[in-house]
Amino acid sequence: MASVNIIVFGARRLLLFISSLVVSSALVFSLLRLLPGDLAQAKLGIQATPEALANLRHEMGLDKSLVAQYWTWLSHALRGDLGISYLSGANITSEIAQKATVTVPLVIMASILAVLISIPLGMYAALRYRNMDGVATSAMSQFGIAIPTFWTGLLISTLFAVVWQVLPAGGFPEAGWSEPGNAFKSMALPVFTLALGQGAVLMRFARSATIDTLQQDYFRTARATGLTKVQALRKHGVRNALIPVISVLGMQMATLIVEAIIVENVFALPGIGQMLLQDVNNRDLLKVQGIIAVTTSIVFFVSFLVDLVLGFLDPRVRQSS
Amino acid sequence: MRKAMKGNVSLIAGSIMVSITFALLILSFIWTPYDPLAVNPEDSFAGVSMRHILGADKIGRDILSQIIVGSRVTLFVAALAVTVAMTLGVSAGILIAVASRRYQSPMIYAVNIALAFPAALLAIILAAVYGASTITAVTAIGLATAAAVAQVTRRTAHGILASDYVLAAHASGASTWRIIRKHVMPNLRASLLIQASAAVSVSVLAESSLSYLGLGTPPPAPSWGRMLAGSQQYLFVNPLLAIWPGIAIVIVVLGFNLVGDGVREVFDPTLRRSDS
Amino acid sequence: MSLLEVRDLTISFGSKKVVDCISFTLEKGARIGLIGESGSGKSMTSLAIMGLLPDTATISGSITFEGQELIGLSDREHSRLRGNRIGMVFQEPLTALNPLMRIGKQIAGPLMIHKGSSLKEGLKKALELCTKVGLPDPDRILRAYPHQLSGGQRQRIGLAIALACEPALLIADEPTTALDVTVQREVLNLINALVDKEGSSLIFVTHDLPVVSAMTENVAVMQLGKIVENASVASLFHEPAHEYSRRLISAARLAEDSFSGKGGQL
Repeated sequence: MASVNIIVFGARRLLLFISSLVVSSALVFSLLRLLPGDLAQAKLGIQATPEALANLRHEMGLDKSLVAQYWTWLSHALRGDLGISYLSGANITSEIAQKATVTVPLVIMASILAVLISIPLGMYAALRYRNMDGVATSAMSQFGIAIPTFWTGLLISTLFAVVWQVLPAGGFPEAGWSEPGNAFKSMALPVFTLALGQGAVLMRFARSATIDTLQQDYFRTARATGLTKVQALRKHGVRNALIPVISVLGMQMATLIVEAIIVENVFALPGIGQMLLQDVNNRDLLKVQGIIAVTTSIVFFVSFLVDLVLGFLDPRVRQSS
Repeated sequence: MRKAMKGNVSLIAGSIMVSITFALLILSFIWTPYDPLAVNPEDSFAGVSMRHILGADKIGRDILSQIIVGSRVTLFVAALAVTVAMTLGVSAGILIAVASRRYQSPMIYAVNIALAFPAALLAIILAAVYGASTITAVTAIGLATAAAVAQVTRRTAHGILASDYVLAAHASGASTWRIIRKHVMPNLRASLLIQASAAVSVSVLAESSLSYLGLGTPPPAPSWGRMLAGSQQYLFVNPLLAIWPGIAIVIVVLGFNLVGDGVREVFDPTLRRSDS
Repeated sequence: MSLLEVRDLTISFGSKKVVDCISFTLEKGARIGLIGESGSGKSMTSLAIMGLLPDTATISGSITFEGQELIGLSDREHSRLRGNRIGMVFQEPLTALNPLMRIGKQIAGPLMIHKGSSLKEGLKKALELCTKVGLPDPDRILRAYPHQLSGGQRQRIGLAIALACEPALLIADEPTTALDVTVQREVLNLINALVDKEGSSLIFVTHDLPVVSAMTENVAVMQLGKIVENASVASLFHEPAHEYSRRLISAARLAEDSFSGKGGQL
């Protein structure tokens, strides 16, 4: 009975995930085709002869309908082929895959660190919300939310790289993760920067979830069985605080990836974000489209995963949906 | 108003910061210590002094003057974006809430898709097509924030529509439009006020990030985000340049966030003890 | 020596006194009912004995339990008694259990805390407790989450948790108010039987005079934070000394009449 519930639940979320992918990529596709002129014109320049333009349009499939073009792109994309950049001639999929070795660890490590920061601090702020230190902890998260990520990055790199000179201000080893020591060193400040901003947001939710838990009847029952306030919070509060934190983290994933793009620029990390901005400046539309398709897939995939995790953490979610 | 302020630390602190922001904006049209764009090589990297209260940048432009004038771009973009976001978001939110069940779920689905595109990502797409400009920045920030506003408005309106007094109004034969006007809008007011101030904060943050990435208002008009981007290559020479514009951004964002929290406290006194 | 002695207990929030200088004693194995309407201070009194008052409350007077002064104990010291020597059943069975935790683990909780049981031993004992509180199919119940059980079943679980460590004192705070009338009767009978069997003392808190008359021999009537009358149930019914007690009795009679007027069959 219970396992059937879980399967139905999972299947529905999977369907939602796939349809979101298709709809959003179609949206991006049509947005990028709104360009005055078209891809062929952009590639050949204004002086191109009409024949050359027509030839290229045919070659690129631009003379077909928009729907047909999208279908061609989607069917290739689903097979992992995002096409070839008409500016650099590079294979877009493999270039994204290579840059992802920087961006994906950045986002994952920052998410984990943000959760690790926010849960204990949020619970602490909730437990002591009447005292000065609790108020100070809440005020810290207010500041954390108000500070733009790139400024956090600038301040942190000023402190660690300029004043104390303990960590590099930017860059990434040429050899990548085959030099793990240097790679982690280069990642330290970007991860920290990203985690601080995200942690501040998550902390607010951990705090209000904990305040909520403290007022629950079952919390009183737990204390009535012989737990002190702090013990009861550790046993019953963590999971209850984790639920909103995880679900907010899922909702924040799109923002987190955007912030990763910004942080990569602050710390000169050769990741997807930095590449994306270069491609925007070069108007490499096919590549921009590929990158955005990949990042939004990640966003939808994460929210799919988060739904599953919440279903696992909260028995009521599995049943109600 | 004075009664609302009493003991409401968030509202007091927030109002002060918001006032500073607007004072800066008004000042920018009246007086600045220097022409913010005036190049003065002798003052390159001038420190904090009577001559340049906050110092000067590489080519000797006065920082304080740039910060005062920089408030224009930030607040202009934020004001436009918030107008777009609130107009679109609130109407969409209410529309979804009153729509029949059949149309409700596709619309909620559409809002969820839109939420996967934060302001900066939309701005990147628009910049790739049209090139970065104030218009692309406003459109991107406005649309992205509209999705968030629509979501919150829908939930709040949904709660109002489910309440007993609206059911009673329905039973007595009031039209949907009348219910929106007489019941939904007045009860939504507090939520809208809170959302609007949060939207300003979000927009200012987004605008400064876009300017930092070079996707916002193009030079020469000074903007805080671009000042910070410019300071970055001189971190080793003059780290102070990376401080001032950041403080300006934080004052605006924190100010509007605190005002939002303060308003929430005024309308929901039960929050005063527990959540802030 | 009495099991519990409450003397001049006063609880206030700011300048507002919710319990005003009350005293009563409870012998080992004896029972007392605390009766009064909401806001009379009866629940605050039981929370004070448990050490579960909100942080904002100030408390004075004396509560001695098994010779130990409870007022002024730290949360940690007080927690050694809770669920161990003193058990408590709460009013709302629907919200009193953690929705994210299986029932078995919640019953095993006090055993693991106070008796040093492992989870496995705790669950084994929980199985016995389930049978004891009359729950059918205990294996299934231990694996269930609270939302999968009925209100009456959950209140039985609450009782199993409170009695797990065989406490000397059981406090039942309106344990049946939120339940259907038929289920109410069953749960009251169960509490009666278990308290008898274990030889525990009982403090039964309620606003409902007929309910308390089924449970205890003595009652303390509370109004606005004070004990206005202290009497045996029988004498309270026959010759109530205080005006407020008289009102409670007539209210109870009224309820009974209208109940039987409906036919009395459920």
